[in-house]
Amino acid sequence: MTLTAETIDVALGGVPVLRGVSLELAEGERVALLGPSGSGKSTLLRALAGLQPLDRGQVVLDGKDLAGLPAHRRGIGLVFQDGALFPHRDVGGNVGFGLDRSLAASERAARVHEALALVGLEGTEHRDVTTLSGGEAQRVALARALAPRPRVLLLDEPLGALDGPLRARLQDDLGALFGQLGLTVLHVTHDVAEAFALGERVALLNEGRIAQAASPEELWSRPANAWVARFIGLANIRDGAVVRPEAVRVTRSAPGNAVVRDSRRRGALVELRVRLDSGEELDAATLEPSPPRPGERVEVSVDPAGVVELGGV
Amino acid sequence: MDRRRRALIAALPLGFLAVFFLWPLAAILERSLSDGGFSLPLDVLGRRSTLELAWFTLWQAGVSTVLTLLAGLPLAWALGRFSFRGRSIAEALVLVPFVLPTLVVATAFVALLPDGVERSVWAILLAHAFFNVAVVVRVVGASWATLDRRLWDAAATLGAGPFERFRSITLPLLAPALAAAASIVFLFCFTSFGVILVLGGPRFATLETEIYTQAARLFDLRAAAALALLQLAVVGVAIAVSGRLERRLTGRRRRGAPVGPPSRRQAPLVGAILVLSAGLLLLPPAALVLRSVSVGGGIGLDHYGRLLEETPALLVAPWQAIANSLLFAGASTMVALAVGIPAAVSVAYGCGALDALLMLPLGASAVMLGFGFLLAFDEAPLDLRGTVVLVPLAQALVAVPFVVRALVPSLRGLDTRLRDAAVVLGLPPRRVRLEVDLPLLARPLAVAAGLAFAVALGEFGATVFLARADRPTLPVAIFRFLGRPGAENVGTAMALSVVLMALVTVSALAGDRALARRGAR
Repeated sequence: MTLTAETIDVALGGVPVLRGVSLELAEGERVALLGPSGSGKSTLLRALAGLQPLDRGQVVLDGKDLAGLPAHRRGIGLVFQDGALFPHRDVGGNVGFGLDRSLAASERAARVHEALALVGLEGTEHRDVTTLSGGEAQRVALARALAPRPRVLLLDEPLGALDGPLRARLQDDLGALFGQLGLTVLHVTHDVAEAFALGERVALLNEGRIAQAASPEELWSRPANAWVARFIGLANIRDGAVVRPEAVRVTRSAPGNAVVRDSRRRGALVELRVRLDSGEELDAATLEPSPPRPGERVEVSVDPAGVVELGGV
Repeated sequence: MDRRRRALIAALPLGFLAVFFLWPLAAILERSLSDGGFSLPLDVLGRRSTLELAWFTLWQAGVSTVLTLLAGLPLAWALGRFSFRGRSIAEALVLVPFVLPTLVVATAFVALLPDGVERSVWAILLAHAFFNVAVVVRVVGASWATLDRRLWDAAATLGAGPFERFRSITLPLLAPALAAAASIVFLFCFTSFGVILVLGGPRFATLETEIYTQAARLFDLRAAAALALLQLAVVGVAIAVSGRLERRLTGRRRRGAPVGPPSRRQAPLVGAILVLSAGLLLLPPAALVLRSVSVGGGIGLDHYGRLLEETPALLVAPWQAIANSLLFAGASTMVALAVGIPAAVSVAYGCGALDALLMLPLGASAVMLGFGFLLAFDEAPLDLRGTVVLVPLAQALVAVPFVVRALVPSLRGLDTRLRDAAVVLGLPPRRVRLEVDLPLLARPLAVAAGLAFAVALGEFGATVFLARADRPTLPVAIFRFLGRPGAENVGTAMALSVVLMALVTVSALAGDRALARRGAR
């Protein structure tokens, strides 16, 4: 299923939230929608699902304009942040909610079981949803969205309410599951690592506009503008170009041309922040086992191969 | 606070309740269960007329409840789920019918409905719906506002259309609130007195009005007591059920998404509901005011002029009923505050049982109170027959729960650090209450007093038993005028009702304004 958003405008309470947003999801493609809070990510999802009327533009599914088609007839699945499970129904009642009402009871039960098995929660049909842990509730919400076999699945920060290790595990599970099902997926997050891990393509949304939509590698090597570069963690911006941190060479040397401000080890990699005598600050990354420490004088040079012109695609 | 002081503070309200509620209740029990020796009043309860009476009482309460729910639900939806300009005004407007005295409501429907319909079962049902719609809007609307709107969104993305969403999401989640509202409305309609006495005329009677007829008109105290027993049993069941529902409701309360403005598609519907409801709610009072100033074919103040003249309907000129009402209500307010303030302090410090006990006189119905007073205080040791104190005491009993409810949240919210600060700054502990607590509680106290005054002004069921013929209150005077033939008497009743409506609205608003200001702070 190809899902296309074409020049969508949405204003909420008179404030423009989406401004001319266009985005295309190819059949079976997994796209991460990344942006800071307030950038309009959730509103875009609601607009695609048919929960938010458009002021302008259209949503097209497989060549068919969805205008006038209400949310409950679109066949687009949506997983909400922290679940939004129906408190008055048990797990099975939640997962089976979207199934065709004409299904025989045995077929329904089988479909519910199948959806719960997909998320690793077999046999929890009769549990009260208020007794579920955060991770379990999110899995049930996912199973509920998957059970009717939607054409497209939208996820609104599904891991946003979860903590570190659990979040990482569910991230892996989701990636594997979507690959296995071959679903077309749009996944909203404000976490760069999560977007890069789950999205074959990442669309960056800033103040209601798509700033760039590209594969993680392309984003990292060719950010479209300074905002994109900064948001994905490329902080060295100099004369309209990004200096990638691994291209910043730092060697111990006195007197040198810079001083180390900060040093952080992340596994094999060490991230350094240095201040040049000109006052400019740069991020650097090195694999050296014993890198210079804060306060030490260093010589900084830049490998021209690691300098990328902004917007130079 | 230590236990001795707590017990001491609770003693006054408990004593008051024992003497002026439990004793009269015991007097009713005694009168109904003894006839020389102990005997069940099976002759009265087994009568065919009693069965028909009980059936009609249940039937009208049930139908009124359904009607009230139907009228209140759209408004609960509009006010509960959406925010828009003027919403707080709309919410206050919905409450107006509920604070109006029953006699004013009844008179307003006499004024509104065309001849022939004005005293019919339809008039009773409509007046009950008008009176109680606020309960549905408040209880169900509050619950609707706490529902997470993403549940509807989730249901929509799972293929549920608008009707299916209402059936499988909204209704089950609102069920506890709907049941709670229905049981409260049912209780009010079951014990409704003024509305049925006026609008039912001689043809329609309920247990409540029949207790009055048997006791005050036919002087069959034993029959009245037997009916009261039956009434008490039904009311007891209804209170138990609604109490359980209310607990379930508070247990399930959860955080909801904030209400937003209606969408472009919903806006016309919300607007239509608001305009239609406002029209329907304003119609009866407007008709009342209009009829009170219409003379012959024109407009005039003749009906008001007659308030100054002697009349065969009362032993005194009508204006004296206004003066009586103000005096009685003033005295009742004093008593209600004297009992209600220590009661509120006890409740605020954790004595929840007292709160439930003090609610009982409200549930037991006003006629029961009046009748119980009549039986209990006509002989030693407390022979108050014919004295003027009975009316304020009965009215205070009905007003105390309102005083307690108005004060408890503020008492619980008192910042104890302010007291500590005052003591550290050199204020003797015995003066802390006067100089720190009292100024902080001034507004809630004003609210409580205003509410108590309004309730006492409108009280009819107990007062009609207890007010002496030469000292009628406003509701009693209205009732007497409505009971006499002739357009002039009806006109006088309308004029008195407008005066009563104005007085009650002003004293209740004085409270509400203070509440609003406190909320804004």
